[in-house]
Order: sequence, then C-alpha cells, then structure tokens
Amino acid sequence: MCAFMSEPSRTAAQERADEIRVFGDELARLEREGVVALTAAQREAIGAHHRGLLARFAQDFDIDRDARAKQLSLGMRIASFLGALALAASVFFLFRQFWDRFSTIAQVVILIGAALGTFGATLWIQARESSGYFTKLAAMVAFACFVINIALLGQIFNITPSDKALIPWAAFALLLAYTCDLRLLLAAGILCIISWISARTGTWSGMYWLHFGERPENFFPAAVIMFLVPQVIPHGRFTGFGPIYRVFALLTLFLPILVLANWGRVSYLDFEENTIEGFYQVMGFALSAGAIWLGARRHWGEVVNTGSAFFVIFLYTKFFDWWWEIMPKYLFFLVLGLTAVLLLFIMRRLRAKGLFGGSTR
Amino acid sequence: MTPTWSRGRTLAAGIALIALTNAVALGGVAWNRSGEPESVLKLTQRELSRSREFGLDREGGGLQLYVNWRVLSTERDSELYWNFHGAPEWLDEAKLASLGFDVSPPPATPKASWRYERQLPREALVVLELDGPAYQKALERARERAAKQAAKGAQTGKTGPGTPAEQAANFLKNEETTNSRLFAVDAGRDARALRAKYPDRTRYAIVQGTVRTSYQTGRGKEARWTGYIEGIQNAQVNVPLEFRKAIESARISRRPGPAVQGAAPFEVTVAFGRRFEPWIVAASAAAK
Repeated sequence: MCAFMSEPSRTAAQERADEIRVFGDELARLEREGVVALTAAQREAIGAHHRGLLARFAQDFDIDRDARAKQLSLGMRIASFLGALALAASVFFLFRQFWDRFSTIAQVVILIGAALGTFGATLWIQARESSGYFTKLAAMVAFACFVINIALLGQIFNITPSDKALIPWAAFALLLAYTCDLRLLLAAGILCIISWISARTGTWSGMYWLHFGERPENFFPAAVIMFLVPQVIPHGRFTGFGPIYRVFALLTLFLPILVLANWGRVSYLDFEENTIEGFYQVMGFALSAGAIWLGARRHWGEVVNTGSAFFVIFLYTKFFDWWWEIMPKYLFFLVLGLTAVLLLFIMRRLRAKGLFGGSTR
Repeated sequence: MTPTWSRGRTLAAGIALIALTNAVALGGVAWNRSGEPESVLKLTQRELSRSREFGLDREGGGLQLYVNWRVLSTERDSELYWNFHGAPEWLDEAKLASLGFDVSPPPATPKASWRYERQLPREALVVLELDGPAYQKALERARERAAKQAAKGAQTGKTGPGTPAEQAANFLKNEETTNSRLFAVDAGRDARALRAKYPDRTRYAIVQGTVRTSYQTGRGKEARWTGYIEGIQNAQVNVPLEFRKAIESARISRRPGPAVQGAAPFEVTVAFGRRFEPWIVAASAAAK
C-alpha cells in the first residue's frame, strides 16, 4: 500500500514545520552571537522557502504554526479520540435499541448499508477537511459499523463464532489507517492481527480458538511478526506508524512473559512450575535488556522506553517475591528507590559512552 | 487534507472488502440452510428460555432463546441445576482419548492432575437427544430418589417443608413437568459416524461444542479421568421478527435451566443445517 503514496502526511508536515521554527530560533541566536552572518539575499531566500512550505502545509494539513496552536491541537486530539469512542458506542446502542423492530432482510440491509455509508462518509469528510480530526471521528464510526455488521450477522443467523472475522476487521482498520493517516485505527488493526495470529497459533495444539489467551506463549509469533512489519515494509511516509508496530510487538512479547514468569502452570512447557517461572524470568530480563540495547542502536526511542519499563517491572517483581515478606516495608521501598538510582547511574554512563546518542525517531 | 492513495482506489477497496465479507458470511448461511436440514427438533418451554440478560441488554437487541441442554451426570443423586452440566457418564477415558485428549498418565499420579489442568478445551461434535432414553433414565433416578427419601422421612418423621423428602418430591415433579428433556448423550469428531449411530433426525441433533478434561477422585472413589461439556456453540438461537409474536405471547422462563412452574406452553421447531448451525423454522404458542 505504501508504494502508492508519495505525499507527506499531516504528522510529517507538522514535524517539518516544528523543525523550521526551531531552525529560525537557532539561526537568530547564532547571528546574535556572531557565529554566522547570512546575507540579506540568503535570509530572504530561506525565509521565502520556509514561508512557502508553511503556507502549503497550512492549506493542505491545517498544521499548528506555533506552540499555542500546538497546545490547542492536543486538546482537540483528545476530544476527537473521546468523541470517536462515544460515537462508536452510540452506533452500537442505536442498533440494539431498535433492532427487534426490523425483519431479517431489513436488518441485513441496514447493517451493510451502515458499513458502506459510514465508509463513504469518511472519505467524503477526508476530502473536505484538512485537520484530520473529523476524519478520525468518522473513520472510528465506520470501523465500529463494520465490526457490528459482521458481529450482528453472526447473531442473526446463529453463525458459529470464528477467529476468521478478525481478518476483514483488521484489513478494514488498516485501510482506513493508511488512507487517512490514523494511528488509532492502525492500533485497532494491529490488535485484530495479533489476536488472529495468536488464535491460529493456539489451535495448532488442538485447543478451541477462543481459549488462546490461556496459553501466553500463543502471543509470541504475533509479537515477532509485528516487530518485523516496519522493517520489511518501509513506513517512512507514515510518521509514527513504525513505533506503534514496535510498541505493540513488545507489549505482545513482554506481557505474556510477565504472566509466565509468575504463573508457570499456564505454559506449554512440560516442566516443573518453578523451572518454567525461572526460565521466563531470565527471558524477561534478557529480552528487555536486549530491547534497550537494540532501541539504542537503532535510535528507536519507543523500544528503549518499553524495554526499560519492563526491565524495571521484572526486577521489581523479583524483589517483591524475595523480600516483601521478610523485609520491613520501609527497607523494601528503600531498596526499590536505591535500585532506581543505580539504574539511572548505569543509563547515564551508557549515554556518556554514546550508546544512547542520536535522535529517536 | 492531501489524499495519500487515490480516493477512487480506496473507495473501491473498502466497498469490495465490505461486500466480500458480507458475501462470505451470507453465503455460509445459505449453504448451511440448503437442502434437507441435518436434523429438526421440536423444542418447548422446557428446553428453551430467554437468553440471560444483564444490565445493558434490557435496552433491546432482539429476542434470543437459550437452548437448555443438560447431561446425565455421574453424580446419581444430583438434583441441583449446576449438576445438569456435570461430568456425563459416557465421557470416559476412551471417549476423551478419541477426542484428542492425552489421558496416558495413570489418573492417580500427580503428573496426571498437572496434565488435566493444563489441557484446554477441544472442539467436538456433540449429540443432543430430545426426550429419549437419557431423559427416561433421569426420570427413573428422580423417582427412585423420591421414593428413598420418602421412606426415610416416614421412618424419621421428617416429611414437612424443607426436608430432603419434600425436596426430592419437588425435584421429581420438576423432572416430570418442567425440566429440560434435551440431553447431551455422545460426542465425536466424525459427523457421519455419529449420524449412523443416531439415525433419528427428529430426536438427535448434532451440534458443535467444546469438551474439557477433568479428574475424579476422593471419598473412596477410584481415581479416573473424566470430562465435561464446556459449552455448545450457538446455544442461543435468534428469533426472527415473524416468530416473535408467537413466542412473546408465552411466558418464557428468564433463567436457563429448569423452566419455571406455570410457564406457558409453546413449541419452537429448530432446524440444524450442514454446518450444524440452528435456525427457527416454526413457532407456536400451544393450547393451554
């Protein structure tokens, strides 16, 4: 899908506009300090180029031109997210409220019509709106309508529940996400894919697919695949999409490991419970440390942060197991605090050595 | 906002996705209902109740009927509703192994208990029997139990309300008049083999379900592998608008399990198709 895309996204345009503003501030400071002196012609050329870019971005993407606009924009994003959830819920309950008044044929027509209509409305709004806030609202409603469409068809015709429904839901969410540059829908699509891959993995052992969550190892293949997606398919055009794939991949990896490190009996492994828990505790430390290292090497800030968070969680979980019962509480929390200080020292040292250098885009 | 992909292509892709998904779902429904139904059962207020309703569901959402299936439990004296879904007599080690479960460790070893806990439910085809030998056996058990408790009560003089004798008599009355007569009597993986074993399509329906292992021991009983039916797929059947009037005119039990005393009689004909998915083909409020 990415191959068809050449125009910058709103996020990329916003990032460029921010860089232009920072560049202007820094250039003015350098000139005041006498480090550099541009000629009037050079200054005018740069200024004209930047004004042109900003004007185009403002027209095409309704970007925030200054810090105040950016703060307002954050509020609008939150309102848009909450509004999208509320509207999706509203559609669901609207269906429920009046559902029993329609014949089966009318129900089917309404379900398909709602999915098609809201999808068309999303594209119509996208064509007329530059900010993307209303597009996000409409896209969420369209996705909710499609999910309800398939779920209620299952209810009307008593169709046996199947994990296969996750495939079209994921495809629809990804279509909206990539078309409208919506990270919320990307997250929804990724969750559908993770669920489907994990369910399929679970069925290989013979279990009924709905129980895939009871064996946390079922999530590991999905974690690996999601982590590789932004490596295999370039996402340079979609700012923020790559990090979302990686964060979901790491959550899909570390959360099951955290469960297995504490409840070994839910594992596939046919060993003693303590052995399984010990194995996954070691895996948790090793993989979270590995994530920090990889994130630092590849300048993936989100990978470093997620790895660090889970490393600390694994560490504190072990501390709890070892010392909560035998230590006075003040001493236990003192140890936690001192450990955090020690980690800060280690991280600072690594940063000084240049391991954490560079941007984290 | 500048389009990232040709809007025409996006529109076409979205419409195609919605159309294809609905076509696959509806095509499956058409295939399930094509030809002669796999089985057709005439269920009554004893076998059907309104599906469970929680909080938000009270707003509407259509009418669904819950199919009250049960099993003949190994616990012979069971009279409580939750024992209706206990370990069936026929779900023994051999049956569990035929369904794909690993029952190789001897059931008395700790390894076995570890293993049964770790085995997750498996899909299986479950045979439901309507008003057949299993129900007659349940009725016989209830009669025996009522007679036994009545004799005990006569000896001890405890026959009033709340006594075991009175409870057993009430249970017998429920078993004769209101309890479901729909029993899960077998399970397997081969639909043809099951149908050959249970050829009466008006008494036996094959449905999709899930089976889980369990383990019985203690109180002097021999340790043994056992199992239970965790659930029946599509145990809730949607009631289309054309049948709602007939069903809503009857006072339907709002809880699964034994029908309430005084529930108005009605009859719903449920067909099961090629994919073992049910649908209602007729419904009527029976004469009181």
